[in-house]
Amino acid sequence: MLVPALMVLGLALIPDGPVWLTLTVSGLAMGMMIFVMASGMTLVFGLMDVINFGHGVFISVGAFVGVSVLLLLGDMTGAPSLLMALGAVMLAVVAAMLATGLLGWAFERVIVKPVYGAHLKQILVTMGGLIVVEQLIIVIWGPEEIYIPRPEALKGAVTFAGAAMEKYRLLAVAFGAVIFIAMRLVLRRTKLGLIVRAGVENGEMVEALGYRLRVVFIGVFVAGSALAGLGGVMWGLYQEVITAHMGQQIMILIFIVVIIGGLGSVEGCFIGALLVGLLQNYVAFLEPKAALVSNIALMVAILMWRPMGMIPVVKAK
Amino acid sequence: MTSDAILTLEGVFTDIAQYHILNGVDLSVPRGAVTMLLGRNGVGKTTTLRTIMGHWRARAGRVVLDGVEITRTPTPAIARMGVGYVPESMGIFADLTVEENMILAAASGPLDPARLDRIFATFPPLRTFWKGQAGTLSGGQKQMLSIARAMAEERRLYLIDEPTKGLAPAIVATMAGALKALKADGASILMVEQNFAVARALGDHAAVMDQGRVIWNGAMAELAGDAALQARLMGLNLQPGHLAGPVSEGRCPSRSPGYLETREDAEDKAGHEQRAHPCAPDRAAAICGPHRATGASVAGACADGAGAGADP
Repeated sequence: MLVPALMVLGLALIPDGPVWLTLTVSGLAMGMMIFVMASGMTLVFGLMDVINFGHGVFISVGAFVGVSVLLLLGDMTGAPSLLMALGAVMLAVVAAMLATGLLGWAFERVIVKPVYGAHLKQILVTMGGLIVVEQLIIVIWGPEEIYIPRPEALKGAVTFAGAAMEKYRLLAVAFGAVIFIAMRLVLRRTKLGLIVRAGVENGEMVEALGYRLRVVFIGVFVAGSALAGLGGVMWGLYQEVITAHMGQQIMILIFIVVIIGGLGSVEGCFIGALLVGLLQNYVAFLEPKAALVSNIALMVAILMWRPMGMIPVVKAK
Repeated sequence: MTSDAILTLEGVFTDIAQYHILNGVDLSVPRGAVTMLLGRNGVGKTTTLRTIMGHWRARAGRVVLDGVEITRTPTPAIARMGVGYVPESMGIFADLTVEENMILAAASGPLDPARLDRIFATFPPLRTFWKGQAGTLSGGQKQMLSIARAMAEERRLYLIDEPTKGLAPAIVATMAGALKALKADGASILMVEQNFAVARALGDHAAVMDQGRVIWNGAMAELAGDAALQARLMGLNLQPGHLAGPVSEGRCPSRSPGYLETREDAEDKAGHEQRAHPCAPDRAAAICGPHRATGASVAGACADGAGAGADP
């Protein structure tokens, strides 16, 4: 109910309907992209109690790999056909997910595995891993930021009820919604999802029932890394510029989303991401200077209301 | 006893951080029988079960399941060898429904409908709350779910840690009835139990622990029939006036047989323990007689030569 409540509050404060609609779509798009990037991190923390400060690097790598593919597919991105544009974006997404999934597997084996159960070491080591991979990005793609134009068919806006809504943001909303529904289906309707949800709550008992949670965790880590890579492509196209540090910069928002959502909760992460996206857009319109602190204020308010986040799954451990 | 043992522990030492918890446990669990692991608080009973299950690694010694050494075997592999585990904390997944908990418990495939029907017959509330979130169940229902999960598949061995701990008297009887049904099916069970009335009613064999090792091993009947032995091994005060005759004689004690702790232990814990002291009249009644509130027979724990048995 918090998301609709925030939207209604936004409407009350921004009485101009078309402006409110534009801001709402923009906020939802931003929230969906943050959710895609953050969902893997919250599951990794919930499942194996691992704080991965290096999660942002998968966002950066995903963006660079995806953009490289898009640059190679200049003919497709330059065509006015929406189908061709979506095809190019999908190819970029697949390449980014494969690359970041593979990187995630190596990251878990080399960096995370030796520091299970040691939070301080996890923070230090994963931050070290982030720095190393960021430097590798600079070695491969150079230190300059790369401007990446959206495919021709995804440029511009559609007008609805007098409100201009960017096509790409609508696509991001649809994409994020599909991923959330797919994740929910996997988590709620499959045995693998049950194992993951149960593992977030009580990993030891899941193992006592005969499931190799470590293997499941590696799978979740790889999937979470791949989702971050996917989010990186989406975020890169949203910002139309990518840098090696983009993942690190957005990690603040991701942490806020994961914390207010409740550690280990995909649903909480989804709601938190939408709240962050909407609030940032509304406040940026109403009082631009306050936009910088609006999400911190949101986090403080929610933690005062619910200290373990909105849907605290990990508290049961 | 070791000739047809399903599980043996040979000189098992387990440390938790800097603490030496198990100091050379030698234990043999006979096939198709119920072995009670007894002893006062903090002597290593739960650690023994967790070491068998692989949650904590033995520093030295051997754990052998049906001729296969499992000392270093990972927990999931031990579970897949047919060991069902009911932890002291119950370990239910509160965020999942009862149904989802049971689906997870059937690790090797879908739930067997016939087996599920038997579980429902034993624990009717689980059918009632099948689609409900497990976290909303009462303490007794959570314990039912925990035991039902262990029963979801064919097991070679059940490790059950204090199944009656903290439960209402009527629920204790239900639990005892369920465990009796498991026993009647020929299951091999190693069970930690603080309630000596329940232990006496269910156990075929007993192993008493103290200071991280097994100090006595033998038939439950021998232990149950020897008050001096109980007092020596476990500090139970069985003097006349403190306890009436054993439950196995069909009489209800004027005071319950007691948890396996000294009176000093109990006094130390007063105010920290939420569970009803077994000497409380309603608890004794639940174990050995009609329920005060309902008048219904809740004598499951005392059946089979252990009191006013309601079961055949």
